[in-house]
Amino acid sequence: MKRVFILVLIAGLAISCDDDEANPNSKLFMTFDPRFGGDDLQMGETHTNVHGYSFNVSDIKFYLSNIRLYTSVDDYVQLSDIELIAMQDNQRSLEFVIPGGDYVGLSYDLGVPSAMNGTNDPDFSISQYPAGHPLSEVTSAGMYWQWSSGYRFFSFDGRFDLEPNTDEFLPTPFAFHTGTDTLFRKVGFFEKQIDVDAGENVLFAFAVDVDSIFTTAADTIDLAEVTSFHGSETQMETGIKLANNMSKAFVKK
Amino acid sequence: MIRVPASYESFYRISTTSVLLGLVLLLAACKKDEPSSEVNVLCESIPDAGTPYEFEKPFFFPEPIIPADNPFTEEGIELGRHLFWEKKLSRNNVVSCGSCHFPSASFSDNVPKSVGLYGDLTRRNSMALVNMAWNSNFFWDGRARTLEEQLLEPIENPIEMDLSWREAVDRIAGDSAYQEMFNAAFGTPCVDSVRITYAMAQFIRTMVSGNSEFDQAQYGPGQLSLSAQNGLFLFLAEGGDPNVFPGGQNGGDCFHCHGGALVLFTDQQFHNNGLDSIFTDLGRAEVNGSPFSEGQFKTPTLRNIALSAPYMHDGRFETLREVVEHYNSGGHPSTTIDPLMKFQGVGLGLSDQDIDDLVAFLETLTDEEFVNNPDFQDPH
Repeated sequence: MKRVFILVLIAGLAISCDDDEANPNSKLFMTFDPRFGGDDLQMGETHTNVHGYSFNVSDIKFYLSNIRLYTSVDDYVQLSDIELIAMQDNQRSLEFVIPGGDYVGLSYDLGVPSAMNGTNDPDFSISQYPAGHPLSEVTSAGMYWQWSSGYRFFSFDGRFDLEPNTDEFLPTPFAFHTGTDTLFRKVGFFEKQIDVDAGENVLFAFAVDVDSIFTTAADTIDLAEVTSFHGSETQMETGIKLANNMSKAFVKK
Repeated sequence: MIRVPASYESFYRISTTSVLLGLVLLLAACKKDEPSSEVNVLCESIPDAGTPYEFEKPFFFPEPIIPADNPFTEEGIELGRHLFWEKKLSRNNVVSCGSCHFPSASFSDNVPKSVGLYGDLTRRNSMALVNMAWNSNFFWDGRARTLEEQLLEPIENPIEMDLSWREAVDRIAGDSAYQEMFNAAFGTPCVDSVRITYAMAQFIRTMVSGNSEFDQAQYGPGQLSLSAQNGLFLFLAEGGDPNVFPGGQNGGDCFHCHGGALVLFTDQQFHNNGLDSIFTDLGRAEVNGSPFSEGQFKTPTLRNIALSAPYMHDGRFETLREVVEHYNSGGHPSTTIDPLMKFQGVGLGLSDQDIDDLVAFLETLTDEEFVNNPDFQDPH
């Protein structure tokens, strides 16, 4: 009897080490991994894109806003107003505490909403966001451009060669950086019927499909024609294609 | 661990011992972030010791993250200043932190690589200590995540100060003046590596620079010279001829890495800015093991940059003009050169006047009040 009691005591202690188990709430995890041609994409790895150009990706960074978990088709819990994903920094997952219950899916927007972006606010200052906030200068990974468009929404950088190239060095850089209200996009709805018991965790794993950034049925970005977009009004046609394609690059695994 | 008992009596004795040992192990396993065994940790943490210090920042700076377990106190900051300038923290009593991080060089020094306690050279250029309260990774390769963690390294480094933490603690603890200061700052005279690094971190976080000529113009009533104004314009303009590169603005393209917010002047990221085609220092890759990070180094802040020559992680450029000329050249191609270095082979195409203007702008980031602040100087 005494032995059993001692074993139970040890088991109880072992469990109490684990913070998660002590929490009656559930957690929802979102993960984002770059993907190319159905495989995981490593930063710096050379591939051939849909147009036959050798290319690599050095970084993908983006803001997600209005992350919403739906309890029914027209009712939701707002999990977060704004989050930053930064691939090269391995900042690729988000974690939220959610109550147990029934849920039907998730949605989010790609970009920084106008009010948080200081659009049309002459008194806006990035310093209103404390360090640690996704929009703070300290923790926004250089995504803020004060003089032009506010925050970058989606930043996609790499190098390429129009010729097939198996060398490690690709000669030409590309840098596609969207921003401004015009290029704000809704992403999802991602349907997932789930019944979450208290303490149970939920995973929404997303691939960011680089193929789709270069081309979708509607819009094509051909590196032979354009290698950069940084918010310039004169290039807004390119910006709109990019924003459309970037919003379609999110695929629920 | 539990043997077949010879008798119930001995079984219970053995099992009770085993259980107690098990409990200790389990409890130990619950503890997180154990410091390495080499670091001499002894002292208890006494909440609310010392006089709270009200940290002041320029209004256009964000709120920093101050570690909850190391709040500012008047006494902690003063102790930190004494330790920062303490030569006893080097084995031969020759160098202090301040030897390679002195005020007139923006708390850096003015040699390509610093001279350690025996006259040997460090691996990399001394980094300026400016606005560390807003810094999110430390060293050129970002291997430390907090200032407290960063401060554990230089004292033990055989080239820099070459003193074990055990001996450092003994030397400080053996000084009655320090005992009083530790008592005032931490509630007991006890000395350990945690208290030493925490006090120094408090002091270093008070080193805030936000009153340069640029700040007085950008956030106050001041005005920059026409040359510096053009330099700022070029700083914020995209590189490249718009007729050749769509979106180009014939600019210097500095902002991508040195921050478009015009506050901290760093994106806190790691980049290969095209210094070499063959790397002699792998930089960030030494920390994350990724071949893709070879040749990447932390973007340093540009505040007070005119004071901390020479430049780059190896101090290869003697002047700001040489730095701007490097970027103007487009840099050297390599497998990991940053895509933001867009102009290898062709260059940015800045004129001599443009380069002068960019340098003039960078010089407006010097903050005389910061480097001359009496609160930061050597108290010994």
